[in-house]
Amino acid sequence: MKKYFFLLLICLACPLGAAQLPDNMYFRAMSDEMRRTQKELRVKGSPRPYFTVYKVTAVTSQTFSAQFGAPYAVSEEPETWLQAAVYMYAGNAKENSSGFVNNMYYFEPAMVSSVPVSYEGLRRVLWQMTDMEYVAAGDSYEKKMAYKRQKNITDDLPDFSKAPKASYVRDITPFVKADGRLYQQLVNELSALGKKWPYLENFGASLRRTQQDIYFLDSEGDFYQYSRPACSLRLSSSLRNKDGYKESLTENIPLECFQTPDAAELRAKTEEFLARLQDMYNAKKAEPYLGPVLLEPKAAGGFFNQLFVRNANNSKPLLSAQAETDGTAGQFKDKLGMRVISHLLDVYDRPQLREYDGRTLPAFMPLDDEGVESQELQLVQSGKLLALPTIRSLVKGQKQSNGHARMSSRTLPRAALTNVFFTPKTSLTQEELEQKLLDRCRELGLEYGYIFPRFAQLKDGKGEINFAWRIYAADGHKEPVYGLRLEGVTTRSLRDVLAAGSDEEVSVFADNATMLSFAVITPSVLVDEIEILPTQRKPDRAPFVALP
Amino acid sequence: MKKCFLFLAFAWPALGLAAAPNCNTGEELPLKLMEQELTRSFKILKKQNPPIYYLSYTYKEGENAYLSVAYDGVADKNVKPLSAAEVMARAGSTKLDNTHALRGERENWTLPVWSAPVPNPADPKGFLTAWWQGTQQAAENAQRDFSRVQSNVRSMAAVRDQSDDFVFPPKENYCRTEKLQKIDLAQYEDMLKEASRLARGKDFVLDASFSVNAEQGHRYFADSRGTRLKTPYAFFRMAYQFSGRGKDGLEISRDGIYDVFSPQDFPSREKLLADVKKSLQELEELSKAPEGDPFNAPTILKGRAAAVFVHEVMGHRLEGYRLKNAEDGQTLAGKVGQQVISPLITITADPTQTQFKGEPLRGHYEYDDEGVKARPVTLIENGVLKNFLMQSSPIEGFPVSNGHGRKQTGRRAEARMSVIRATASQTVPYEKLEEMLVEEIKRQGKPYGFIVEDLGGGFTLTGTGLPQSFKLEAKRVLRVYPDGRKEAVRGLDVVGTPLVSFNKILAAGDDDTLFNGSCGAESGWVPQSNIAPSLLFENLELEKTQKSDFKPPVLPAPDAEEEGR
Repeated sequence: MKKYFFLLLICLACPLGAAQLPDNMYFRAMSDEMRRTQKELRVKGSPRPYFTVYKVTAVTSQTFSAQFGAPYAVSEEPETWLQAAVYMYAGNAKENSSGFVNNMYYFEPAMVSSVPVSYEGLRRVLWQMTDMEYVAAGDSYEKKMAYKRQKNITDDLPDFSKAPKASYVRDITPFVKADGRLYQQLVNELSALGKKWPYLENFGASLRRTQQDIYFLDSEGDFYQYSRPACSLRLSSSLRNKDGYKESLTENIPLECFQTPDAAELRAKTEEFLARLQDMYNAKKAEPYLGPVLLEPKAAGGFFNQLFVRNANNSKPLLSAQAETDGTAGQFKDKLGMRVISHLLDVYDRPQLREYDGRTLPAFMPLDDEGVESQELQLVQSGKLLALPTIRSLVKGQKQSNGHARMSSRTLPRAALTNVFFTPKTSLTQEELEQKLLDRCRELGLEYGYIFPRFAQLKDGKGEINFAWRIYAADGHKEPVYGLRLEGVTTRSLRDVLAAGSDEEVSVFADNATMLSFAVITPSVLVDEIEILPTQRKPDRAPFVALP
Repeated sequence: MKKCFLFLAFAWPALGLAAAPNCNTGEELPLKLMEQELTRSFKILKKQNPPIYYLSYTYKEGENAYLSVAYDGVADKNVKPLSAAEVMARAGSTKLDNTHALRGERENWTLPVWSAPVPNPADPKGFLTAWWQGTQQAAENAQRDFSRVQSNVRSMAAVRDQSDDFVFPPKENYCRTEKLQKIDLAQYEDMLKEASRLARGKDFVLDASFSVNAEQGHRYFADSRGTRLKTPYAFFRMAYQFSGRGKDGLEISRDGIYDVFSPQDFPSREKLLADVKKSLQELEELSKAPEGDPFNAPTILKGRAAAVFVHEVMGHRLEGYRLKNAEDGQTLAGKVGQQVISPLITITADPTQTQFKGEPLRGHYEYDDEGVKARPVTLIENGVLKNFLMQSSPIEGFPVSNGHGRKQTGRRAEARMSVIRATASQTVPYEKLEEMLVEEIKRQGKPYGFIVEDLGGGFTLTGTGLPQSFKLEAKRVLRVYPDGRKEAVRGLDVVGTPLVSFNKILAAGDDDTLFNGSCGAESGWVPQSNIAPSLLFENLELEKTQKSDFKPPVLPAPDAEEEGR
């Protein structure tokens, strides 16, 4: 009887026309345990549970792989597993455990990655994780209060703001098992295309189809349910170039999920990839360079992801007795109203967008992980920072969350962007962009400029790129280059964007620290100044034995 | 007699009682391709500076099936094909090579060998390229490591044992194929779910898990000395475990393990349910038991517990390679021919044995991971040290391998245990052993002694940096009073040092018991079997076990609450 009463309460709390709590095993287990948690979970002398979240994800995945035409052994059946995550804040709206961590490197929700698929199994897992989270939340609460007293932190902001009830429900369609023979044959065929290039030491193709069915419930009655499919072909290769440097290259080609892949199109893309490997094999080593660089869309995506997206995330630093500063907090938190990027660009975040340009966006998020409906944000107008993603734990000047709390197995919900669009006010064609690059080179008295197809993984403003094009100012001819070491690439470089193209593309990035995915949608951009030095890596000797 | 016959009939296919070659290595496609690439590579690699003087390829092809069930639900179910390659390269010479222990550098023993999944050999180009890559990588790593070894040997103090780093294994050619057994995981789902429901409503159970695991396939081995092997392997296990936690943070557990030759031999539903009920009763009894106090007293290690004791306390010290590692305690160095433990006890290792009282021995194999034929070895005879477990790395007085070079995929082989068996020259029925325990308690004037009915595992320290001691996790301990009364206690571990404790054995039972398990050491996890009779010790020390920092959950388990209502 009590169970039904609780369900009724949830539904009464939903906005008119909002979805009903779906009647399935996951929500039954979550709502039954949530009821117990909110009503009964208490330890004398400890703060009570204030806000609790349950998130359950059923994952199904199928992979087919081959190398040089030979298949790797794969399971006949798709792999499936059920994950559950729980987090909790203890205290009250004004003061609770949110935003305080014991360790600045690890602040994860309680997580179990192979939950028994039964009502009873899920309940038991939620029960144990809730208990663990309650102990941790009580501990954080006490430490946070002590820390605030010690540091004389006396702001009037509530620790957790109110938010309207929200829900989002889409029917879950069961994962459709692929025709194993067909898919395996396709990856065999694609990987066999590498056989004709004698310098390739490895060439593989791997096709992966995944579906995540996500179920979310919080203690305020917010809930969501939807599926997130992801399908892609990954091409991977390694070679030793003419100078003896070991190089590797990978390419992820997104696929339309649950439709038979277009074999001819994938063959063409694989051939393109192989042609790039041929260029990589023949490439010349980079020399010192300081000047303009044209970033093709994927390179621009990497550039913006690392310099803009990361710095817009985590606008509220965590508190911890362990460290005075939160190294994960984005640099833009103190730059609202300031110019952070070239005036040529506007920037938007669109979490409600499920697909774009025919591609599923992995960061689609109708409700955030604090149960708040996510909002589209204009982050930048004409280069000036207008807004940042926020969560229910407020920062000064903020009244409520804009629905950007994102959680993963590696992070508690923190403010993070989702699908980020870099939109130029005016755009040039590819030819016009290249011409502008050459004009700028001539203006600077440079013999050549650079075009990057991909960007480097930056660490402290430094990173390496193993393939780029050098384009000569005199006649516009291009030649491949390897071993580029980038120096001094910082947020300052965002303001050096001189022009943008019209060749917008979606690039997807996964953050290694948080495991969150971001989509960056951007055209090519011309950056006025990037410093390049030759790599300090050493070449390897030729293989002892020739390839078989 | 009938029962015995039936058992043999069932066991024949997997037991490998025939264990005779039934195929031709020259006709096995993976071996043919491995040989082709190995021969081509070795011809060139042996001329490099430093030379690669020995090269071996191992290829494992098979299937791993796993089912995990808890609380009426499937937590994991998968059948994964396995296709993994491994290349071992030795640079330098047999006298000194890249595997030589680096002194003062801890990473030495974890140095991996090249290993990776490989594509199907049916398409030779992909398969051969994978071996080529692995060979190149393994050779580069071996040359790099050899230069470190040379420098290390020059700068560090001399070691006592100056034996060579390697002795070439004898050339072998053996081929045996077994048809993989069909395992339908779905058929065990219902049975395990039903068993899992027995834990429903039991507030002393914090966690429960049930599983079926089947690993089977073939291992192919080829080396530069001409050895060519194909051998089958098969492990089938059904298991369950329950755990709980007291308010004082002490953790308790009970488990059941069934190793069988064939999935058909898994326990019946009735047998499983009966065993699970018994384990739950024991767990409940433990949950109410008082916490034990540290004490040194006469003790019986019963059956399985004695087998674990022999493994941890003496078995690891009989692994030969430890004697040439300067950082190892070398408990038994220089003691060959001497009395090292109670004269009552003989310890052997025999990987050729396939079964014990109808149960398969997980430690059985035909050839070790260096391609050396398995053979029985008497390690300690009537308390006198006779031999060591040997891989193809000689030690003083033991110049060749006795077929105990073992490892996990991706690691370098070291001498490891296989089927270790302790036997006693005189035995008594177990009931008599308990009477002797009570007599000993009285003789020593102790308030009580112990029967350790089950050990879950443990560890032993063999390095010189720490005491040469062991600690064994006691899962079920009974306090035995002078009047014969028994009382279960929680929270005690068995501790001690090997030479002292092994010399305190007073008597042995006639109840030889098998403990099948997996052991993790420097060369990774390897399946092993340990057999021993119950042993009565003049005294053993039991100390407090580590407690969890956490209390049991605040709320009762959801199902326990439902039951309560």
